[in-house]
Amino acid sequence: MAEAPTGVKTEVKTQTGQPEGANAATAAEAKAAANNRKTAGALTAAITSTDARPAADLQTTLGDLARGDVPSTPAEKLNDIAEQQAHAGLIDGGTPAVTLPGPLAIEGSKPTDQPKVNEDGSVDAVVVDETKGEQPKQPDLPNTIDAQIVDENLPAVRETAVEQYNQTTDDGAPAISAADKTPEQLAIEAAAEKDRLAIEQAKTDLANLTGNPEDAAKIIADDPENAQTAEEILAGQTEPAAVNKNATDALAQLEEKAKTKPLTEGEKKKMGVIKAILLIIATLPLTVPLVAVGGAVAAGVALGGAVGKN
Amino acid sequence: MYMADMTNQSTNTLQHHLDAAAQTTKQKMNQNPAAAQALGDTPALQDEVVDVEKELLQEIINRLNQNKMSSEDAQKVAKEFLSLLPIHDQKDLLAKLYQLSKANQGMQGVYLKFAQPYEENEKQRKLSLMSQHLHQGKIEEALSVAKGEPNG
Repeated sequence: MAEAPTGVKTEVKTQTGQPEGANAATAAEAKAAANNRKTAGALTAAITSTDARPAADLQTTLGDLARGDVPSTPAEKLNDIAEQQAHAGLIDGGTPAVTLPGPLAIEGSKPTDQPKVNEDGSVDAVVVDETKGEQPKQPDLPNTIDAQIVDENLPAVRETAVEQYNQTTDDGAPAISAADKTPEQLAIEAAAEKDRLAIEQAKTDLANLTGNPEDAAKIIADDPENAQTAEEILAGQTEPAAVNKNATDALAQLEEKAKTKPLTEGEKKKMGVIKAILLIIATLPLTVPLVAVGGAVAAGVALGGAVGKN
Repeated sequence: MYMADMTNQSTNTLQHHLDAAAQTTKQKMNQNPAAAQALGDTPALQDEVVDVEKELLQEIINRLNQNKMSSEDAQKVAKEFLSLLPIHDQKDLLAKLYQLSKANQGMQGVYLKFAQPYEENEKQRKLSLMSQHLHQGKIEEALSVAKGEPNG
C-alpha cells in the first residue's frame, strides 16, 4: 500500500508480463522477447483506430517499420504524457494538462494513477481505492500467449510435405533432407513437386489418349459394368476438375499396384474406363459440369450425353 | 482451452483491425493516384498489393508476439518488401513474393496464400486451352500446353 499525494490509497499490482517461453534461459532472451512483443504491440496500435485518431494506413505502417521508426504503444505514450506533466509541474494535482488518448483516458484520474510500463514489458496497473469511484481501465496490451497460428489454407500442403519428409529411398536414406528447412519450405517444395508430377501425368494421359471422345463415352455407356466403375470414380463429382482428380488418383493407384504385381482383368478394364474418362474430361469445356449427379443417371450415359452436347 | 480462446480472440481482433486498415489504405490509394502507382501498375494490382501488405503485417505481428521473429528481422522484411514495389503484373507479384519468402523465414505462408489461387487459375486456363485444341483436333498444341511451353 502506498499513500498517494492526494490522500487516495492506491495499491500497485504488477501483471507479470512473462517473457515468451517461460523457459527463456537468459535475461537477454527475455528482454529480446519483451522487445519483440513491444514492437508487435506498437504495430497493432498503429493500425487500430481510436476515438482520438484514425488508424494509420498499411503503407505508412510498413514504411515506419522499415525505417525502424515504430510508433510508441499506447502504454508508452501514457508514460511520455505523465513525464511531460511532471516536468510541467502538474503532477501534484489539478486537471491534467494533456488529454489521454483514446480508450486509455481515465476521467478524473491523476497523472500518478497512470499505468506504467516496466523495462521487461510488464505493466504496473494502478488500482484506485473504491471510494474514489471510477476504476482506471487497463491498457490494451498486445496479446502475449504463445500458440501456433496455422493458416487454414496450408494444412493440406503441409501434410504432403510431411509425407514427403517421411519417405525414404531404397537404401533407407531420407528422400528429402530436412536440414535447415522450415515446414513452410518443405511445403513449397512439396507443392512444386506435386505440380511437376501433375504435368507429367497430363503429358502421359494425353500421349496415350488420342482416340475419339465419343468412342470413349461409348465404351462406358455400352457396358453396365464400365458404367458402374465410372460412377464409382466420379463419386458424385460433377465438376470436370474434380472428376479429373478422382480419375487421376484412381489411375495412379492402379499404376502403383502394377509395379509390384500384374493387374487383374477387372483392373485392366477399370484402367480403360479411367483413361476414357480422362479423355472425355480433356475435351469438355471446363465450364460445363457433368450431368451425372448422385447416381440418378448412369455415369456412362451422362458422360456420353455431355460429350454429345458439346 | 481458455488460452486457445484468448489467442483466437486476439487473432480475430487483429484481423479485424487489419481489415479496416486495409480498407482505409485502399480508399487513400483511390484518392491519390501517384501514391497508388508506387504500389502497382493497375488499380486491381494496387488493391492486391494492399492485401499482401495486410497479410505481411499480420504474419509479422504474430511472429513477433510468438517470439519467432526479432524486431530487426521485422524491419528487414518490411524494407525488402517495399523495395520490391511497384508490381507490374500477377506473375511479377508472385515472383517477388517468392523471392521475399526465400530470403525471410516465415514469409512462405504469405507467398503460398497468393500463389495457390493463381496456380489454380493457371491450371484451369491450361485445361481450357487444351480442351479447345483437342476439339479442333490439334493434339500437338494440346501437348505443348500440357508441357508448359511458351506458346501454351
